[in-house]
Parts: sequence; C-alpha cells; structure tokens
Amino acid sequence: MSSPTARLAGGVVLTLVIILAYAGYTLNSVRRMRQVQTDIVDTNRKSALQLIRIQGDLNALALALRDMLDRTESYPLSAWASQLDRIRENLDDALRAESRIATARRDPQQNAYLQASFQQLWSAVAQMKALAAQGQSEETISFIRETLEPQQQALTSFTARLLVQNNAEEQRAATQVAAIYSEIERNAYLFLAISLALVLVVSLGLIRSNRLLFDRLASLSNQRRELAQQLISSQESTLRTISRDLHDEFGQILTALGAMLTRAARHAPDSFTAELQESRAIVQDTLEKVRALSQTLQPVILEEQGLGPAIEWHISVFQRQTGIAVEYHPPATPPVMEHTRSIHVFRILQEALNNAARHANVETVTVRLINEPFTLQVADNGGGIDASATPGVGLAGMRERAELLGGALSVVSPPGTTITLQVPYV
Amino acid sequence: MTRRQLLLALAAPPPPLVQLVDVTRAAGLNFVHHTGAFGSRFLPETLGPGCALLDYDNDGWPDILLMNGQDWPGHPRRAATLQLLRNNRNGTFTDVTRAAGLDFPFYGLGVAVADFNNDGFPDLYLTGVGQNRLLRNTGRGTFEDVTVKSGLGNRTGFSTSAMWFDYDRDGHLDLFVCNYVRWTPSQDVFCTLDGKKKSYCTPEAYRGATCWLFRNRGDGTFEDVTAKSGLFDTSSKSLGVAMLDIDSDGWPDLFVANDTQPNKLYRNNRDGTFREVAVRSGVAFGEDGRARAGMGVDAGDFRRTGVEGLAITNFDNEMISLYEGTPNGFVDRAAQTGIASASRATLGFGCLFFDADLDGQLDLLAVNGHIDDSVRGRAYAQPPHLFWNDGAGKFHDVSAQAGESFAKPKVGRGLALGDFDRDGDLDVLLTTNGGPAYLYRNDVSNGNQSIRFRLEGRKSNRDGIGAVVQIDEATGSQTRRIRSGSSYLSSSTLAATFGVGGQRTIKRAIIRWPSGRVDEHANLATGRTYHCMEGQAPVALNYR
Repeated sequence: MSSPTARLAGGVVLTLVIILAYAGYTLNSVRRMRQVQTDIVDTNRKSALQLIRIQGDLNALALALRDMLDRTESYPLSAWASQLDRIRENLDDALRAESRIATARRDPQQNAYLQASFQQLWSAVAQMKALAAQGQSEETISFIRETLEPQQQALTSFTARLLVQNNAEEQRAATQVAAIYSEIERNAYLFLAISLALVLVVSLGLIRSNRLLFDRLASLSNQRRELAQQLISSQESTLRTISRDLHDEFGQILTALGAMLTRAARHAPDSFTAELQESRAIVQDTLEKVRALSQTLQPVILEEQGLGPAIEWHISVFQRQTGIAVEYHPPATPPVMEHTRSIHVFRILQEALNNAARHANVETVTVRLINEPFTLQVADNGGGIDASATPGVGLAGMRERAELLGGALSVVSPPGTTITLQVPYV
Repeated sequence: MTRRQLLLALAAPPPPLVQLVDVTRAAGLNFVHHTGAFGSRFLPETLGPGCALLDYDNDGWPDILLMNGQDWPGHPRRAATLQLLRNNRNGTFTDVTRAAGLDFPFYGLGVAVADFNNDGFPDLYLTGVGQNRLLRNTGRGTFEDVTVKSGLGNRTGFSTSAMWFDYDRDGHLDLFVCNYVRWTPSQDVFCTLDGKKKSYCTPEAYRGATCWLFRNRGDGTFEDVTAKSGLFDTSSKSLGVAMLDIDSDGWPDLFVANDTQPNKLYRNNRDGTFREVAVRSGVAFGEDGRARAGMGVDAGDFRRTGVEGLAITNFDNEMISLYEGTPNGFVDRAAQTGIASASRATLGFGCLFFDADLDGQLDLLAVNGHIDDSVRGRAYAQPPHLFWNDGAGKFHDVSAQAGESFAKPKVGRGLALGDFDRDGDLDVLLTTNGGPAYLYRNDVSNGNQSIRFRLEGRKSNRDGIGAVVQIDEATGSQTRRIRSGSSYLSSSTLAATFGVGGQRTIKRAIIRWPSGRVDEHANLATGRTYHCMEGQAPVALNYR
C-alpha cells in the first residue's frame, strides 16, 4: 500500500494555488474598480463640483444683471463693475479647474463651444461696462436684455447639460462598477464551489486512506496476536515437554542411579563406601533440583490445585530462592480460572517477580490478587525501571499474555515498580 | 479617583479666576428692548439690538448706549427710544437720553462710535431700518443730527453693523456700513414652518443689498465711494464687519460676515480700492464648501504671533469659525481648539476677543440666542460662551463658572466691552432681543495685572483707530489693534487693554500709527492707563 502523503500534499498545493489565483484575481478586480472610480467617478465628482460652482457664478451673474435692470439701487449702472469683475474672476478660476479635470474626456466640440461662449460673454460684459461707464443707461439696459441675458442663459443651459452629461457618465461608471462587483461575486461563488469540491475530494481521499491504513493495522495486529499466541503456546508446550522429560526421563535415571549406588555401596569395600554415599547424595540432590526445575517449568500444582495455591507455592519458592520477602494479599475466595488462561497469569507473576529480583534493589515485594475484576498486582520498593532503557523481552511477553487474556497490563515506575494485570472477566 | 481621572485632572488647565458679576439692577439699567413685534413677524425684529460702551462726555468713565426698535407704522404698542446712560462713577448710571437729544423715533439696530471730526468727542453712527443717523457730539453732553449735512442722508436701507476706519490713511475716519437685505414692511414675504402660522423668514427669501463705504472728506462731509472702491456688491447679506491687516502692509483690510452668502474679505489696494480675496484666503465658505450664516465677527492676535485671526459666529449646527492667520491664508482651527464642538448647538451673534482673566492670552466671548421662538428642537434662549484660552492651543468654555446670571440662557445679540468701574479689567455689556440689557462687572481675583493704552492721534485720526499696539514682555509679545466695528451691531471702548499676569513692568510698548509713525516707550509700569499722543511720551494715569 502506497503512502497518501504525496496525494495529500498535492491536494494542499492545489488548494493553495487556487486560493492564490483567486486572491490575485480579486486584487486585480479591486485595482480595476479603483481605476474606474478614480478615472470616472472621482473625476466626475470633481468636475461636477466645478460645474456647480460655474452654475453658481452664472446664477450670481444673472442676479447682478437682474439688479441692474431693476434699478432699485441708487447707484449708477457702472457701480456693478467690481461685482461683475469678482464674478468673472471666480468663474475663470472655476473654468480653469474644470478644464483641467474634464477636458480630456469631453467632446472637443463641447470644449470649444464652452470657451467660445465664455469669451463672447466676457466680451459682451466688457461692452456693457463700457456703455455703463459712459453713463448710457438705456443702451446698457437694452444691451443686457438683448445680448447679455440670452448669453448668460445659454451658458447656464449648457452648464446644466454638462452636468447632466456628467451624471450620465457617472451612472455609466456606476454600472461598470456594478458589473465588476457582479463578476467578483460570481467568481467568489465559483471559487467557493471549487474550493468546497476540492476539500470534499481531499477529505474523502483522506478518509479512504485512513480507513485502509486502519484496516491494515488491524490485520497486522491480529496476525501479530495470533503469532504471539502460537509462540506462547509453543513455548508452553516446549516447557511442558521439557518438564515432563526432566521429571520422567532424568528423574527415573537419577532415581535408578541412586538405587544402583545404594546397592553398590552394600557390595563395595569399606574404602569406597564414603565416596559412593557422597555420589548418591549428589545424585539425590540433582534429582531434587531436576524435580524442582520441572515443577517450575510446568507446575503441576497449577494444573491440579488451581491458580491460588500455585501462586502461593511460587511465592514461597521465590522467597526461598531469592531471600526477598513477599507480602501476599490473596482474595477472600480463591480465583477460579481455566487452566489455559491461568498459566498466563502464573507466567506474568513469575516474570514480574523475576524482574523485581533481577532489575531492582528490592527488599520486599507485595503481591495482591483481587477477584472482581480479576486483578493481579506485583509491586516492589526497588529503584524502578530506567525510563531510558529499551523495554525487555520479559515485559513484551507479559503484555502479549495480558492481551491473550483479553486484559491489559500497566506498568507504573518509579517510585518502585508496580505491574498490574487486569482482566475484565475470568 | 482612578489613575485616568487623576491624569486628566493634572492635565486640565486651572480654571480662570474670573467672575462676571451681574450688576444690571445695581447699576440702574432697566432697559427692555422693543422689537415692535405685533404678530407679523417682520425680519428686523429678530436682529437687534446693538449696544455701546463709550465715553460720550469725555470724563474718563465709560457710559452706555443701548439701541432700540420702535413700533411698526400703524401698530402702536409702546413708546421706545434708544437709551444713553451716563456713568455716575460709582457703579450706577443715569438715563440722559432726552438731555442728550437722542429720544427721537428710530428703528435702530446697530451703533458705531468714533470721533469722525477729530474734535475729541465720540460721535455716533446709528444703523437701522430706513435712514441711518450720524450724530455729532457737540461736546456739551448733546448730539446733533448731521446726517443730511454730512451727505449721508437720502439713503434708506436695512443696515446692521457699521465701522469707522481710516481706509485711505488720510487722518479722517471713514465709514463702512453693512446692509442686510432689501426689505421694507411692504415687501415682507410670508414664510412659515408649519404651513399655517407666519414665521420669521431666513435671508434667502430676500435680495441682498450692497454695503456702503463713505470716505470722510475731513470737512464734516462724506463721499460715497462704495462703487469706486470696488466694494459694491448686491449679493451680500451682511451682518458683521471687522478691520484687520491680512498682509501686514499697514493698510486696513476688511472682513464682512454674510448671512447665508459667502463671507467677503477685502484687501486694501492702497489706492482707494479693494480686492476681494475671501475664497482664495479660505474664509468665504465653511469647511464643507457651503456659505454659512455669519453674524458677528472679531479679529485678534489670539495666538500671540503678531498675526490677526478671526472669530465668526454662525447659525446653530454651523459652529463658530476660528480662523488662524497664516502666510497662505486662513485655517479654521475651531475643531482643534475645542470651540467647534462647544458651539455646535448655539446660534451666535456678538463675539469679541478679550483677555478676561488678564493672563496674557486673548479669550473669546460670544453671546447666543435663536432668531425664532417657534423653532423646534433648539432653545430660543441660549447660554453665552466664554472660551478661556489656555495658551496651549485650546479654548475651554468656562461660562458656567463665570457666574450664575451670566451663564443663564438668553436671547443674546449685542456685545460690547469696556472698563466701566475702572479697575483695570474689561467689563461686559450685552443686549437681548426683546429683553433686557445686562451689565456684568468683571472681577478678576487672581492678582493679575493689566496695562492699558488710550491713543490720541495727531496726524493719524484722533481716536488712533487702526493703530497697532504691541507690548514686549519677558514671556513674549502681545498685539492689539485699536478698532471700531467688530462684534455685532455694537461698539466697545477703543483703548487697548493687555493682561500681563503678575508682571509689574513691561519692557517696551510699540505703537504703529495709521500715519506710518512708530512710537516706542520703554519700561512701563503695569496697573495703569497710558494716554499716548502720537509722537509724544505717554502720560500715566491711575485706573481710578
């Protein structure tokens, strides 16, 4: 089975590429919008402000002309000269500002018309002022009515048209901006859909990969468990065979050897009697050791009397052999367990006690056996397990046996070492 | 107290130890403005009255003049004339209107006071609806109506503020008159807020009217130079006028506050003409590019830079404009200084710079009040603003601390300053529309000293109007212009009063006369008035 990392990395890269592409697209769209706003909307607004200013000045001109025609002021018509000059100054300023902003975008004919119209207007104003300065009131009034007012009105209308035109352009720009917004919106949805699809595909791929991985792991775990079971069974079978052979074959041989040495001692000269008796004692000692070894490898007591007595027997042997004191806390009633299962408990106890004797500077060991739930706890007061050390075969064997029992083994260390086997049901 | 509160308390400037004590009743002022209102809600009824602090009898004690309206033709309600109140030099005043010959019928609004004929006695120019009046002070406690004789007759209008100044620097005071709109009772327009009852119209309902400039020929007569000077403008609706020198060339320039129309700033071309530069100087429109409703105006060196700035009162929601003069024109500092937010809800009229607590910084006083008692959402009577200049760029409204009566809402209009009790600080006279006039005695209790300069021109106009007085102290310089006009419809005493804190002497005083002459006087003791004649050593006078 190939690793999913490459595919997953590919998916992430693809997603990043799409996000980057979309970000680039969005930034570009914003730039376009800004361009449109700067080029059209802002320019239009500034232009409109100047056009409004021009309209205001033309309106001020109209009011001044009206006041001149009304003759309600006691001043001669020439008095308006400075007021008209101020209006012209302001108008010229507004026209200059407006032309800087809008001329490039406007129809050249309109620009020409605007300039020509204002030239005509100022020329007419100059004429009017000259007439007023000469005191020709009637002529001045006629000139205002027939020439200046129509020119002022025409310019006011033209400015209004430019404002309308400005508005139309602004609306077009607004439409353009709206179109860009719609495009961005549409593409945002598209991006969302693609992103969601990609996430879905990557997620499904991930789920499938994980599932395959877990299946594979489960299969491997089962195989390992079966293998361990077979190994342990094989180990038990071997131990049983060795134990039986030691007991039956070597035991009988040594027993026979002992009997023969006894008989030989009876017939041998006195000078050999001492050596023969010594030899018989060695044989007898060897026989006991072989029997004890046989018993250790495959305790008959476990098979015949059950787990409780077997534990008690082994603890007494352990104390005798190692000199380590063991505090045993048996349950109120002896545990009842099938032999094939109890052998695993017994082996775990053996290994735990061996560990205590082998690895730690232990003075006492506490063994606790509980029935419900079935719990075997072996705790020592030694230096504990070195955390940096590689876990040993013994501990692995204990875990395997715990798994075969369907239980769990926990090791807590330091302080001391506490090994607990817990089996949910016996 | 939290740490933040403690820090704020430490950072806050100390409140000024100034009290504006209401002495109206004690002084014997029982004036009540008569608008002539009878229900038709004529526009002029909302505007007045103006007032003046002047020394009409030249006894050195400022007297009071209160402008008044009158009944509208065909609608008699009560007799009313302006009031002239002579200072009794003991904190009280005596009504001398009739004795002075001022009890004539007149729908008056504003007053400009100056010695136009250089005879040593202050004369009066009264503005109002109809024919304005020029009243020559005879020097014997009476006034002579010289309107026609002076060439100012046969001229009717709806005039508001007026100002005396010597625009051509010939030693004779010329006269600038603001006109509001073209209005007469017969031209009155029906305006309404609810569609039924008539309300007061805004000026948009009427045509503008040109202001007037009259050149003093020096022989008691005046020449109308409105058109010749380039000031003729029928679009303006003017309420306030102030003199200043925007280009520091020694020639007086003019600022005109217009209601709903762009303000005008006329730069003196030094040849008898003016050039309008308000738009390029940044004072024509508000920050939003719209013309505001300018009412009152004053010019003053409130930053102590030697350059005059402007304060303009506007309609509510338009805020007071506080323009700082810079080499590139004016910049509205109302927001940064704290004046804008404090004045957002008030509709201002009279406004004047003065050093209320004599700490060496020009403070700003503005009186407020709405024009229409039927308007919703805004109070008709409004409290005045006393903006205390902390010298660090902020103005703090301390009107509430200045006295209970002073802080009380009023329908404020006119505002004038003068030291009526001659204790060295400037006292406040203000008028209300359809209500009483108030006199507030300024009681500075922080031990600060002042120094005052009363000018007498010889080659320059006798009042020294247009002269700039500069004092140099250890802490810097201060300048004041001897000015007529300013505020709204009102006239203040002409002497220049400087606050100098605790200083007992000043290093130097420099007087730049309109004639071009510069006088310097060194090491002057504070706590007194100096009578400075042009080209002569000053004569020290005790305040009392």
